[in-house]
Amino acid sequence: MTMSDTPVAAQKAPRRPKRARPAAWPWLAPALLMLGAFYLVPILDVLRLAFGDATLLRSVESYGLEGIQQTLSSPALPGVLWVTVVFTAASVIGILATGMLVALTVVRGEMRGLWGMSALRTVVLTAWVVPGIANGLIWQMLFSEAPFGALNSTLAVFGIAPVRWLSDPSNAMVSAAIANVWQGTAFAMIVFYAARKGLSQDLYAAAAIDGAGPFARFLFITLPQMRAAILVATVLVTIQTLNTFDVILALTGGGPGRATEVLSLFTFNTVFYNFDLSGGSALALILVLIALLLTVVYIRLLGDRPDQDK
Amino acid sequence: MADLALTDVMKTYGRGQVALDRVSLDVQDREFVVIVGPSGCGKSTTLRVIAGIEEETSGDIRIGGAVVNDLCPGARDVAMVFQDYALYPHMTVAGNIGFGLRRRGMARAKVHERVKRVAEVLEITDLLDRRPAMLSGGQRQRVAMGRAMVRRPKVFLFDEPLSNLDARLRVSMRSEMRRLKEHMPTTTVYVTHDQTEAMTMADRVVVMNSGRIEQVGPPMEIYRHPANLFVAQFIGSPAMNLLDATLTETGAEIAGKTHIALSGARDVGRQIVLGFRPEAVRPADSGMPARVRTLEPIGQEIIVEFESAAGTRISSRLPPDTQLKAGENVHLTVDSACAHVFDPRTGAALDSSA
Repeated sequence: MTMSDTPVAAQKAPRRPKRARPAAWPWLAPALLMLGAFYLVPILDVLRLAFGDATLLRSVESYGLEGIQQTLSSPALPGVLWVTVVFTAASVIGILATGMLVALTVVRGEMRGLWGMSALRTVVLTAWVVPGIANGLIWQMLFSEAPFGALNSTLAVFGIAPVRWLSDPSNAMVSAAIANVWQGTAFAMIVFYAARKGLSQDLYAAAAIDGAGPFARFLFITLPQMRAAILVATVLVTIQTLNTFDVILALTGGGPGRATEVLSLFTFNTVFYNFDLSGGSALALILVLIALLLTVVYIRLLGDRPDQDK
Repeated sequence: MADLALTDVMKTYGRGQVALDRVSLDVQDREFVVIVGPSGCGKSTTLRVIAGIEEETSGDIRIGGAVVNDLCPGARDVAMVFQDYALYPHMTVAGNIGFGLRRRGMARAKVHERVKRVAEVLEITDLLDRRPAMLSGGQRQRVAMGRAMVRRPKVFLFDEPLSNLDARLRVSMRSEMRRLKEHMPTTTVYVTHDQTEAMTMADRVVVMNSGRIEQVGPPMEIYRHPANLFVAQFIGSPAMNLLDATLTETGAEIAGKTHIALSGARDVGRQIVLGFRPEAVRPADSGMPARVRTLEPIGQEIIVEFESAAGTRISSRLPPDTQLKAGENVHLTVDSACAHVFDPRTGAALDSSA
């Protein structure tokens, strides 16, 4: 790099021929060291473990493909993947939709000078700072099917029969997704709020004069103008949801049966309940691959347009 | 085609801030009215209230005789060109121009044809497939005009449409606007802070200041007969010279020494403000003593700034061959036919100038 660059640099700056181009690596070193130590090394170690036969109690004794093969052929895996797909899709759609709704509501409220808009924003943000485990416990109390369960006792006031929020397999999935959406909305809201605030109000005025009603303005101005923000939020929320297991661990523990056991929770259980460190590593790799694949798909779908305004 | 009428329009914001103070204005069918005034005078707010983007606090807005107060912007059949053009960045030029027609349910083929015709008039046919980010400022301006024109609205609203262009382009767009005005005469309200635009394009000029209309009239009438001190100072460049004076039997006396003849009846001894335009003052053998401060040759003329004995600055437009040096002491004479007399307290023009 320096060999071929030197003559060009000398040509471009003939008055300062002696000043060499400063090397980049000293400036990159701190970041590289941090990322290397805390991201790259663990990932490489997961790769190593995935091809080994380590358990939580002993390190790798021999390497081979059997471990991965065994993990992939696990009878539980297809069900777990399906649960992951359903949970992730429901969460991402729910988080993006409610995040957009809250963000647009707050922006609109602020424009109208309504009282309590920053309070609303803060309340939504509070959900975000609650740890996943605590979130799971909170919702477990709300969904509790005991007579004192918050939701069911409220429903009882209106004479509605108790709902089996957590013990019915399909309801449990809905409940888990609700808990995750409740927590994840804040992030999407912040991203969308900032993006919406950055849009010119004149665009909306122009569209209104052009005869676009509120829904048409959302469709033809807000959505296309927020394409980049939607892409970013979708990618990040998807990855975050794929990695979520603490909420589910606290809420349902993956049950009833395996009805809410997502891949990340399955990985956790494989390592910490079955002590199968190598099997868990293989599952973790699958998780990384899925996240990468989805990101590429999103960028193809949402990002590949040359019309982003500069 | 329709006339436009504002009746006692008030606009106040939250803490009693008054943006528009009983604005009443009648714009005739196909008339081109320019609202001019300093920043914050309410001219843009007036436009936005007409468009329906902002809601008036009280008062009526009529378009073609019908009160439109409660109509949403899209239903008022007005078109607006914004200062920063507000083109839809994610749509092509054709999409931008056709958006309003599509939203009103016009068939795609018909929209296409209308867009094409407008593009021909504006000479932007070869840009129709581009996006706004790929256009120059002048081209964006044309697209914004096209988006307004294609709908053939009852009223055109322009919000400082030329202020983001460079000086050269602004002059050519100004004549372009005049050409389009002939091509497609439509009731128009045009807002600007640039008095040249106001003077050159308007059928009638509206001068606004702090939410109120100061004067309405044809450009030259506003220039020749400003209704008050604000209009006198705002219209004309360099601004009108203003001096404190006292009325006498035959005219006005400035600073107890110089006498300027004025015709007409007057209250002798009354304190007034005497105003005269830079072209009405020139050096002479006798008159008001003054010293040359600065000379600004601008080609076809020289703008000279004098300082009177009392320290007042007086600017003058003089022929380019004028021989004056900075620091030189001269006498100034004022063409009394062009003098204006104002009440120093109310600022209103007094009748005494003939």
